[in-house]
Amino acid sequence: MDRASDYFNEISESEPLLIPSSRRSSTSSRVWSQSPYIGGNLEALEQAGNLGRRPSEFNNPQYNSFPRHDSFDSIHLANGDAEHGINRSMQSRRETRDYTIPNALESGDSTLRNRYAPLRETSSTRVLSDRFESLDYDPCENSLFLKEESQQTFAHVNRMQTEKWIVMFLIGACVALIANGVVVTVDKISEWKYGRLRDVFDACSGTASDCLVQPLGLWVLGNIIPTLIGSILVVYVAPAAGGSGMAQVKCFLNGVKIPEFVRFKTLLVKIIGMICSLTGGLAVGKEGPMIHIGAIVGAGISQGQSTTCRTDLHILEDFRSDTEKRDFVSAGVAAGIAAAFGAPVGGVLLSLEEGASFWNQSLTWKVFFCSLTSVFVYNMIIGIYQGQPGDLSNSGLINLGAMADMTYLLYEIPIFLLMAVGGGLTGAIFNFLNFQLTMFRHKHITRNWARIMEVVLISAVTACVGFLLIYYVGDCQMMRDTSPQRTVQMLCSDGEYSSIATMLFQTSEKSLRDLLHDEPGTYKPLTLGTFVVAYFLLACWTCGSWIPSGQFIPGLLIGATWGRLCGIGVMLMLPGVAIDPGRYALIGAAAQLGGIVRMTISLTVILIEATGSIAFGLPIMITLIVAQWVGNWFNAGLFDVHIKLLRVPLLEWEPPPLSSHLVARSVMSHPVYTFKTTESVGTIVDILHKVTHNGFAVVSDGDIRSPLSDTPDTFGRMRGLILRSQLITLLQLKVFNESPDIDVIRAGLSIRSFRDTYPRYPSIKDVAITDQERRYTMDLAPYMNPSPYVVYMNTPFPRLFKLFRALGLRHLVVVDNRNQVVGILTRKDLAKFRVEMHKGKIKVEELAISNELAVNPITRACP
Amino acid sequence: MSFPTWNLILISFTFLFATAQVTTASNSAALARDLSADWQVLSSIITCSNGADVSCVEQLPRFWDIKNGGRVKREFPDGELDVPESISKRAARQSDCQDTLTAYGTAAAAFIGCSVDNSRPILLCEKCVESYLIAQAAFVAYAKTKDENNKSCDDIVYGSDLIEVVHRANRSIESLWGDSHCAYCFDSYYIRYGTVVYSFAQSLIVFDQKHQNLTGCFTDHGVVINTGVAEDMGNITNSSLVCKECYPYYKDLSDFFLKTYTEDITKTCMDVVDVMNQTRRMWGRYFQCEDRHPSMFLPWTVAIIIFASTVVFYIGMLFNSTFEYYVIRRQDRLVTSPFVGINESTSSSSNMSYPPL
Repeated sequence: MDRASDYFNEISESEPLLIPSSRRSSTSSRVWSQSPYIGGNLEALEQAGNLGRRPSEFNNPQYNSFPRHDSFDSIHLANGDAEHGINRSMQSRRETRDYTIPNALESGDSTLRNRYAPLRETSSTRVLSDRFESLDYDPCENSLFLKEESQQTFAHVNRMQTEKWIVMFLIGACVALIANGVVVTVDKISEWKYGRLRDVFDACSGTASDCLVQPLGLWVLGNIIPTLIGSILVVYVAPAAGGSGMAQVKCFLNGVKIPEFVRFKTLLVKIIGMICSLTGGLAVGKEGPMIHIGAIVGAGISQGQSTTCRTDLHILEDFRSDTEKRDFVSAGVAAGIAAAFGAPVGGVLLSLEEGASFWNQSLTWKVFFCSLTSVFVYNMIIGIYQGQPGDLSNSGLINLGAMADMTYLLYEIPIFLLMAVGGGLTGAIFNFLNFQLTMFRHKHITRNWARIMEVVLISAVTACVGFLLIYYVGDCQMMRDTSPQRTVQMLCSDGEYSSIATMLFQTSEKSLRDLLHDEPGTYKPLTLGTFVVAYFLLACWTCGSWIPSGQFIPGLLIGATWGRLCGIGVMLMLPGVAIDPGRYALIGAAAQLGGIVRMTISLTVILIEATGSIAFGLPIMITLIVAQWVGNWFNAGLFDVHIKLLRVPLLEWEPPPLSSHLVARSVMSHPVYTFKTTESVGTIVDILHKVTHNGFAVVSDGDIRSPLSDTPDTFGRMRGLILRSQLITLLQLKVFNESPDIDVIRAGLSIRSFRDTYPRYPSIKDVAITDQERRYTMDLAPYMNPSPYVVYMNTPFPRLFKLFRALGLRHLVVVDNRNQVVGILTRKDLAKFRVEMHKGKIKVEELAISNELAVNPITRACP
Repeated sequence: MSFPTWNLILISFTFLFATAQVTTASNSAALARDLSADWQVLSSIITCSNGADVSCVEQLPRFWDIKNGGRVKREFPDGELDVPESISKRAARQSDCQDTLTAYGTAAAAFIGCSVDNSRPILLCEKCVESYLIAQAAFVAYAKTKDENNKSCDDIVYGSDLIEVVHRANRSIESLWGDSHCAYCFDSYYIRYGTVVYSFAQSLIVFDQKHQNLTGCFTDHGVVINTGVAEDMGNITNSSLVCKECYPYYKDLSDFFLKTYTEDITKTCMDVVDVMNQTRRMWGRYFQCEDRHPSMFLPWTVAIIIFASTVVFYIGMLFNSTFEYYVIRRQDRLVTSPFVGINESTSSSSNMSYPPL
């Protein structure tokens, strides 16, 4: 009991939570101590020792079969006694349902245990966390805002536009410089590491002694040391830097605030961790992390300040809002992709695909500029690094190399389709395995040392598997090249090199490029077959561990390997036909990655750009579409799986199908906390302490409800919406009507006062209010948003959804036809209706929302 | 109405329409000529569309025929058609061009023949440098020669055919020479006053010497090396002896190669690379001089320890994990639930079967 209540107290006072489901009513006589707020019941449940769960059959209601009597219940009950309207109706409603918590529970009724059948969840993805807040994408046009705007001149507006372009340039350049730094560092370290390894191996392999343990030991050590550094940094310094960050980027662009996601600290750990994981030889890529890095750079540069470093340059202050930041994050993401793949258009499209709702032409144009800048700067620097200053043609961290002569014939399309189906299936298997593994990790690998240990074990096993592959797969090829990277002799005779060792003794990007471009006879089928199985399992295992790791390159590499295998198969079946296995490798790569991440438009363009094969666009596209369809038949894409595991309230592109009969009145939070336009300070402080909600409707006094009315209880006439952060700022500045120097305070108040605390708003606990001040009042009208979006009670769900998705709303107040506040809607109220399409069945399920008690570091998502 | 009649009507419509477009007399004259030519062809088609008349096929103009075992041969009546080939030939004959062309053809053929002869083992650079230089000189001579109208042969020949035979031939020679990196085999090679002058690179001479030493050692031990093709070596009876005796020479050669040539493959004479590759193959695969099967006992031990510790780690984690609490939040609703009461207050700790997400 103690633990649970402690947890509860902690959460209710710490980071504000998203859902404003509150039950204070201004007309109610309920007092706080009697509030049926969850805390009280929770304690009782803990005491009774049976934290019951709902019956499992209620978990996945089919839309066409759900009982509709609930609404009749409440309407009927709402017709009760006028005087005790709220109390009575709520009370009786609770009592009528056998799975609610009746008062009997508090007396420890043991029979209840049977009635609360344990929730048999196959997965805990059917829960949304209330740890995640929405971002404020909707500007608040209060009087201060209007005042500031009225003072703006043409020069100011013009300067802001110019600054945007400059910031876009800086973001692109910065991301490119980081990409350059990473690629050069990784190149140098890997070259050194594998060079030593090769020497030791070659020195030993000529003898018959037992010296092979030396290269193996070196390899294991060479893998363990960097990954150890990387995972320690991630686990102890910046947990948000783990994984690839792709899922988190998607959430951020969707409008969900991910804690610590765009911190400077996270950026540093991400860069170092990425270098570590790559030099550690793990089966990971650097494209996902580059996207995350781009997002952080975008969010950072545009602010002109760093809270981590406690520096404020006092520039770009106009951009200190979620709305502006979002645009720059989109640009950063595009720049990251552009630098990683040398695909500026693909980057723009990825930003568009993942954050599609908040776009317009002007932003697209700026983002395109940013990503092209990124490619330009990257090429320039890499040209200098390779000793050809001025050469701007070497683009992309993974330079897949232009695929020359990409001709294909009609009869090859069916083969490509088959490969796409294969990619979809293997992608689904990958996602399934990774999902199970991630569940296991969340459940069992929860201690910090265990998380680090896991990464270390992965890297050690990766080395061992590589070693055994080299020893037992004797694929010796005639020396074609004398460059050291291409002549890993290993156990082959003089004058030959081991093709499997060559694949393993270089970065994954180079292996991928070789698979796309090497001569038809370079790899034996056995080599490719064993490699693809081993790499598939290793990549799946690595994905989601506590180290920065991208999933693009492993996906492409796996696909390219079995694609090449298919190409060899086709060659054998159709002798005499000129088949380039590299072409099949490209299709395989597209199919595999498409099957894993299920991205379509951006991935098509990225692959076209990275290989420079416009003519091959259609086959790539068809492959990706088919792979996506086949994969979606079984499960969701990797990022979506991880978003579900993170329990982020993500809003999809479209409202769930078949949801039009849901209306605002049935999904809104009710009752709600409201403030009057002139509210006492004590009440405000108490409520802010009591609940964790971030938005409050501001009302004038409500009218008396007719006893015969069948409308629900209301909470006053709607006047506006005020945010928690605004209230806290007002409290801190002591804008109280009774303050002696209220006029001075008011005169000094500007929109800047509210902006200064962005992005880390102070907590209500930081506000010191004296007892005397508690009796003061505060005028909220000038500071609230006087024109928030409101909807009627019977607004259908899809319309609500579109409002939220398209406008990036955070709160949506529900009013009745007399403009009386009856409820409030937030992102989670909509996100919890999630459509699941699985093996040809469609169902919409309503998710539960969890209280995050322990403030855990954010769970990892690998993509 | 029969089919030909329809055709006739159709064609006359076309005629009428086309004629209507014509406004000037000259145009109509030209048009009439064209049309009459068209008519000849069309009429044959029209007559033939009467039925499956075998003779019709014969009437169609036929320039291409397949004869002589599938080879395409051009066949047309003399004087009926002017083909570009005969024009250029005539043009070339009028000048000295044909002579230079012939000279170049001979030289090019000599080089190609030489390169094919020396393709296994590749000794292209060493053996064919002479014919290469001669071919180059012949090409330059051809390009420089001018006819009586002070027009260069190159212009005449180059401009008058579609496939640029001479240039294509020259390009293939150049690329063969270039891809073999032959320039790196020599310190210098040039042709002056009809004399070919070249000197091998010092490294090549040393390499050849070392290679001869090794080959000498092989022959001393009764190994017959025929044409350098390792696959044709036949049975090796005394390979262990060869391995032992010739190892110093092999090591010498191999070390020299690694020391001198591994800088950049694009700057290594192909002759050297190929000889080295063949020698290494012979040494490793056919004499089996190196036992490249080191013991795997210790590596397996290490690998098994690592694999086992991984398994132990996961099993340990399975039984020894910390539970994190999370509680399903109660959501307050006007309508209890749009579906069923799943959002009414339930709460849970994550015991055993509930993943603590």
